[in-house]
Amino acid sequence: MEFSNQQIEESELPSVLDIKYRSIQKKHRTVSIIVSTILALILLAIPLTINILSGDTWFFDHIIYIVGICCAVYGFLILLSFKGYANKGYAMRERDIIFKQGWIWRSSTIVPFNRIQHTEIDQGPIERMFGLSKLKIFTAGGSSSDLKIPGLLPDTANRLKDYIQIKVGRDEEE
Amino acid sequence: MKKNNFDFTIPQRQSYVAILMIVWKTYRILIRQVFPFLVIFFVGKSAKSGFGDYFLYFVSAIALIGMIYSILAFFRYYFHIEEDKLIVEKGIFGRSKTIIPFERIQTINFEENIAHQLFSVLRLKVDTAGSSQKEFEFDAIAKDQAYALRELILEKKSKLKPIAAKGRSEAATVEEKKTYTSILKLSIIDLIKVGITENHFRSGSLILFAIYWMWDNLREAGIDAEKYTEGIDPLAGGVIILISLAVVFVILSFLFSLFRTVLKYYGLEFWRSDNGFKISSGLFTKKDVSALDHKIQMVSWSDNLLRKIVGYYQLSLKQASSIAINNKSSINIPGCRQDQIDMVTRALYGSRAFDDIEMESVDKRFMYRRMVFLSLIGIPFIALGYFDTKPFFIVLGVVLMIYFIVTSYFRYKKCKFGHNEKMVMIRGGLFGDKAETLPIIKLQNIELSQSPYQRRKKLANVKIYTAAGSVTIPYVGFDRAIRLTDYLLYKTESSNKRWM
Repeated sequence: MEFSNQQIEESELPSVLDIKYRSIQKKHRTVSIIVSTILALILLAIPLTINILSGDTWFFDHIIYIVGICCAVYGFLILLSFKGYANKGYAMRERDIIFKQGWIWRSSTIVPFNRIQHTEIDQGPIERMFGLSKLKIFTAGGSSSDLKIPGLLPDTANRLKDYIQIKVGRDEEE
Repeated sequence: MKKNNFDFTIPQRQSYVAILMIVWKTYRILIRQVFPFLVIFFVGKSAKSGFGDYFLYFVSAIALIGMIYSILAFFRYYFHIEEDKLIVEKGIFGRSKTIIPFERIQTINFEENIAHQLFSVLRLKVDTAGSSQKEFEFDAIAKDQAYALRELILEKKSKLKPIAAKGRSEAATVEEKKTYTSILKLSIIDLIKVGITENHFRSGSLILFAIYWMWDNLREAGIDAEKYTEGIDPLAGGVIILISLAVVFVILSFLFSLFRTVLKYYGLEFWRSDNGFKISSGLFTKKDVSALDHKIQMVSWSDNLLRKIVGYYQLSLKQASSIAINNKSSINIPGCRQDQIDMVTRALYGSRAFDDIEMESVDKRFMYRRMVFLSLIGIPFIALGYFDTKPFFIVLGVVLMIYFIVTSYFRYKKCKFGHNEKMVMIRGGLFGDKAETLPIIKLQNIELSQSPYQRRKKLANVKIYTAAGSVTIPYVGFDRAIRLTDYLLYKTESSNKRWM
């Protein structure tokens, strides 16, 4: 039996600082711009419909403000699409997977392979048009902590999923 | 032998009392849905004769349908045992068949409310393993039948070979038929002490919420509650009324929390079994909750200013559950003393689990930031008071600001974290103290986050997710945060111990 139990100094531990992140597909930026546009149009459409239905002129009286607010929100969303894309990145290590995101508030989440419950590949309608997939990684830590890596080529997503599957399987055997 | 009296291989229904329970359950849901309409109907102006009649027909029709539905549901609900599986068939129109292999069954819990006690039946809840499978329950089963069923399932289960024992012992989940040692029993006096030292603020806010809700509903129903308060000059007589209202409110909150405590924790007893804990309490609805050691993810205890005086803690054992993370699946024990907490942690983690944990403070900026941002809340009040020349608001604003500054200081002083090779410990609290402990291997994933300010000052928040909720360590120096993350990950990833 092979057994080793060397003492490990904390300073020798592999660090999350040394990780080189891979960026996601650039097309993801286009997808989020389109999603933002749709969102902004819906935001604009709701008061408009209510106004038309109720026969009020409130909407048209304040059109400048409404358009102004919508433009500001829209501009912010577009900026967010650019910056959000630039700050998203993922990395795999031998024993965990890491995903970082956020522009103003930044965060990185690390999921050890031996805690993964299952993985899923997801494709929204707009993502499908651009040939992108989203990899979802579930743990028992609750829905707010599940990893969702967007903007992957379907091929990459599948390979990642398979790799994780192998890793998770190996952990179960041990 | 008792269990020979029951043949569980034949599909059978629950006790007839279950009809009552199902009807009650259905009506409760219905009433909750149509309550606002009922209020409108009974007290509102909209109860014009024609409409009222129709409404009455409508309500009766729904009530009748609900009744028929419940009765049908009862007669179409069968359960039986086939070898080592529990099989439940139900459904009024479409039949559904649920098969639960015994080895999936984690715990079997009993519950009884007054009606159950009257007819000597039990509600039986079966908790199964697996994240997607939902748990299910029988509404009412004759007491001896329920005991026999549980005994049978557990006996058969213990004979089953644990499916591919991979680190976790499936056989260990047979928690019944084991010796129970009582850890804690709350007497009436303890109970009253616990009630008196409750967090009255919380009861108060519950009452406020209830009043608000009633007020809102009444107004919706067309009753103008404001006309009763119209005559009062809000400034002159207002202060006296405000003060007396406040006194009444404080007394009410106090009584309410006392009442709630007695209702919830009457006859509380807390046991240790060979591989888990069990708690049973309740005045009208007696409730049994068990937690197995391997399902417990976090142990935390806390007190408040009043509890400090009597030396009581509230202990809570948070366990991973198949349903969404909520309070229902954690065991809460008020009125624990330090030695009982030690007993629990010793049983779970061994005797010197928290030794050589060096507690570290978080960064001072945690306090400064809180002070600045929270005391901003006071400024609108002061401004309002200044421009409106109402000294009351200025005082209120200043008091708020002082409160937030003082509490930020306390929060900072109490917020500490530390770990050793096995455990993580996080301390916190405001006027009281709070400690949260978890074994490192219970970690599910870990999140490092930074606000722009924290990035500038080289700080980060570390959030540790477990299967029973998360804990956050705020404002840790960035290097320390990285070191902590690396260490926790190393421990988690190098261990092949199961988190459950």
